[in-house]
Amino acid sequence: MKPDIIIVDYAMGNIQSVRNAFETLGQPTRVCSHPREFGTPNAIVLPGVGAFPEAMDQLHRRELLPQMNDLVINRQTPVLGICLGMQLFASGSEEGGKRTAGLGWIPGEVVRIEASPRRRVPHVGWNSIEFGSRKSLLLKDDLAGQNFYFDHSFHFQTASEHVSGLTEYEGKQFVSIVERDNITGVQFHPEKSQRSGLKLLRSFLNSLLLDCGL
Amino acid sequence: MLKKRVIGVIVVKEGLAVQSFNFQRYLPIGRPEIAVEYLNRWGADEILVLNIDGVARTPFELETTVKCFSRLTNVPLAIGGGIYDFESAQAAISNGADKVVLNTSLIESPDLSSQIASVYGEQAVVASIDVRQLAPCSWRVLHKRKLTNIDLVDFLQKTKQFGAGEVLLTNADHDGGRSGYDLTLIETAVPLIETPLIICGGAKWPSHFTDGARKGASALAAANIFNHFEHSIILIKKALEQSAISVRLDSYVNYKRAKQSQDGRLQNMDEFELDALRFRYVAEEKI
Repeated sequence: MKPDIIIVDYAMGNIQSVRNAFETLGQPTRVCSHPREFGTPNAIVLPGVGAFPEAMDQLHRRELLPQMNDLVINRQTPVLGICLGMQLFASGSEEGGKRTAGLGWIPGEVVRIEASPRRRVPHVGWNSIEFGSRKSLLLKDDLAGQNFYFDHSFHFQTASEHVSGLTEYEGKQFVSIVERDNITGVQFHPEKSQRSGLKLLRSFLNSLLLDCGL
Repeated sequence: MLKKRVIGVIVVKEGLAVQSFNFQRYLPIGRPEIAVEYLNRWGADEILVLNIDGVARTPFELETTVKCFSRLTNVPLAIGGGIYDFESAQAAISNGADKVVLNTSLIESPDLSSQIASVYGEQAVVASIDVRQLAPCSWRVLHKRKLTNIDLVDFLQKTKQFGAGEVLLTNADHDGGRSGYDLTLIETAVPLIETPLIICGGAKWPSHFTDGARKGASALAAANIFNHFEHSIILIKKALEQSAISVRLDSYVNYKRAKQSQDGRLQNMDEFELDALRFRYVAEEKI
């Protein structure tokens, strides 16, 4: 049996490519834009391209938060956040000029990448990942040092106990993978990272299979 | 470490991928979706599809074409041409485009780009500027392929207000000219902007790409070379790597030991090497 995976559609970003990537791996997904459609999935994917305040606003407006909190916090459903989806796990973000509260699933703040003549912002392009201090369930040995596609101006600052992947950009290291219990977030776009990205999504699927004994 | 990107551009005119010369003459190449599929497979770091018909595109048209392209790519996809309002940008992004490229709108409706950026973030907007050179170190911006009075330096200083995450610069004089990028243009533009710069127009030889990267462009875009030069992407990446510029190589293929002819094309391996290859086992990778 294949796990039941939902992709949360809150009008922020590239749902289609996330679907395509899972499809390539032979994994069907359901796209849910209404809390009624959630059910009790085996995993949730929270994609996202866009601005933090707008994203939180959309989640509030669509009344998705109570259901998401119930699944992730009470039922411990595995969740994968991609790019902005990962940043939303934080306590808050300074994007848009004033602080916006986030989902608060992983304590931390989202702040702007410090620019310099060499360190251009946004950080766009392919960059490699090294292991953080937390042992990663997602980043297998063969993926360390591989390149993934990044495209962001803000980064997630959190305690090192949650950090399982780090990336260096012109002399500054920032968090590229966060993990905490059932919560996993990646700053890059695995759905846009060709084979390395598919391998990473495969290891996410494999961890689900172990998890729910499918 | 961040890698330099090699971007494959597909210029589309009346539904056909074309080769463009000097922004004036066009040669048909074929169906754009096939070009997208191949660029993705060859290892382009990003794919840029530019529609140059100069007419507004309906959300419906964007929905169908972008959906088709995005199914064929596992790399970032940028869509440009005919995006004159927020609805069309929305249609492109929600159907699989990672970025929208704005060109004419930068001049006609300067607010559009920041409007898109406020919802989808600045990284989703690329400001595309076409120029022609008038005098040494002086370029004028084009509007719908026609020369305007806008000076490039003034225009670049305004790009910050546009809220665009990247700037794509094309020198129309170099377009299709095979003489390499406009290197002084890169040198002039890089210090003026804080975002990454994508340079386009004129690249033919792998050495053109290394020159562009050395001058400070974050990404090197080209169109025609990928259609006319076999193994071009991987040979370009090989040349970049040999010049100590780091690039992304997704597969085992790197052509490190391959011999090249004077004009840069791959040469056959000698018989002994081919013979030895028959006994080498390469396991098929399953994801």
